[in-house]
Amino acid sequence: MEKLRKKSGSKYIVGGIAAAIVIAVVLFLGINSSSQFIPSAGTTNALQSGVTEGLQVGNTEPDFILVDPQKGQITKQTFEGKPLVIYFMATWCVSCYIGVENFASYYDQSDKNFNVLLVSTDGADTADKLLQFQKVYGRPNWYIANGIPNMINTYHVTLLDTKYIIDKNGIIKWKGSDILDANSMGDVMKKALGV
Amino acid sequence: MKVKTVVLMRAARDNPVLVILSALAIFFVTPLVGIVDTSLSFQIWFAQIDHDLPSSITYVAFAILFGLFIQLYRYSKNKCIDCGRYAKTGAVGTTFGFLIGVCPACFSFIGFLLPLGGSLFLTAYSPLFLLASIGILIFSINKMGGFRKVSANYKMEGN
Repeated sequence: MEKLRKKSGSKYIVGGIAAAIVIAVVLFLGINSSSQFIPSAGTTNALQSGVTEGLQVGNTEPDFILVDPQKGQITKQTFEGKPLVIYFMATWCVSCYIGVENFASYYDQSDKNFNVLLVSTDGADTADKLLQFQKVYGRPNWYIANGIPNMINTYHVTLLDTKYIIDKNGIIKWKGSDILDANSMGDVMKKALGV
Repeated sequence: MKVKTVVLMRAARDNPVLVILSALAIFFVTPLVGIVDTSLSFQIWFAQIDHDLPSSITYVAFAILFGLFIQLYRYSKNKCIDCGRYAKTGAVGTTFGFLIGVCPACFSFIGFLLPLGGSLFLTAYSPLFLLASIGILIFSINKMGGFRKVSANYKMEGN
C-alpha cells in the first residue's frame, strides 16, 4: 500500500514536468502557426476595393507617430511608396539581436528597396541604447524608435521579435514572431513582396 | 575516524549519472522545446547564457539542484514516508523555475500566456524568480531528509 503511494508520488513529478513540457510545445506550435501570409499579387486591387485598417494580413497598417533619436518624427506616411518591415524588439533581448543581425545579413544581399523600422517594446530603452543597438546590429539608414506605449498597443504586440511586412501601398502582407535566419527571411520577403 | 556526509551527497554518489542526466535534461529542455519554433533555438540559448550571467548562473544552480532532487527521491523513496508529499512541492518548484527560465520574454513559454508587459517584468526579475524556485527545491530536499548527516558508508534501507 505504502509502495503504491510512493509510486504515485513519483508519477506526480514526472507527470507534472511532462505536462509543463507538453503545454510549452503546444504553445510553441500555436505561435508558430500565427505567421500569416498573403501573396503579393492582388495588393493593389485590395487597396482599391477599400480595404479596412487593422492588423490582419490584407488590412492597411494602422497609423503611428514615433520619434527616431536621429531622424526625428516618423509616421506611416514617412514610408509611403516603399515597402516597410517593422521589427518589434528590446535592446537587451538576445533573440531580437540575433533576429535583427540575420535580417541585416539578408538586407545587405537584397536590393535594399524597402525601409526597416526597429521598434523597442521596453520603455527603459533610452535614445542612447537604441542608437547603440542600431549601430551594432542594424544598418545606418534604418529607423529606430521606442514604441511605448502607443505603437505597442496599436499593433497588439504580445511577443518580442514580432515582425510586420507592409507593402508600398501600406497593406500588411505578412506578420509573425518566428526568429528566422537570413535565408528564411529572404524567402519570407520574396513571398510577401516579391523582392 | 567516522567520516560523515549528508544523505544528498550519499545519494548523488550512488548514481551520479542520473544526477548529471537530469540536470542536463532540465538545462536543455528550453532550447529543445524551442526548436519547434525556430531552428536557431540552441544558438539563441547559448547566446542568452553568455549574455545574462546572473540568470545563467542561477539557472545552472537550479539545474544541478534538480538533478540532485530527482536522485534523492529515487534513492530515498523506499524509506521516506512523507517523501511523495515533499516531492510534489519540489515538482512545483521545478515547473516554476523551468517556465520562468532565463528570459521569459524572449525565450520561454510563460510569455505566451501573458501580455508583453508581464513577460518583460518576469524577465527583469528572472534571477529572483529562479532563486525562489531554488528555495522551493532546497525546502523539498530538506524535508526529504537530504541534509541529514550520515556516515559516508551509510546505505538507506531498500537500496
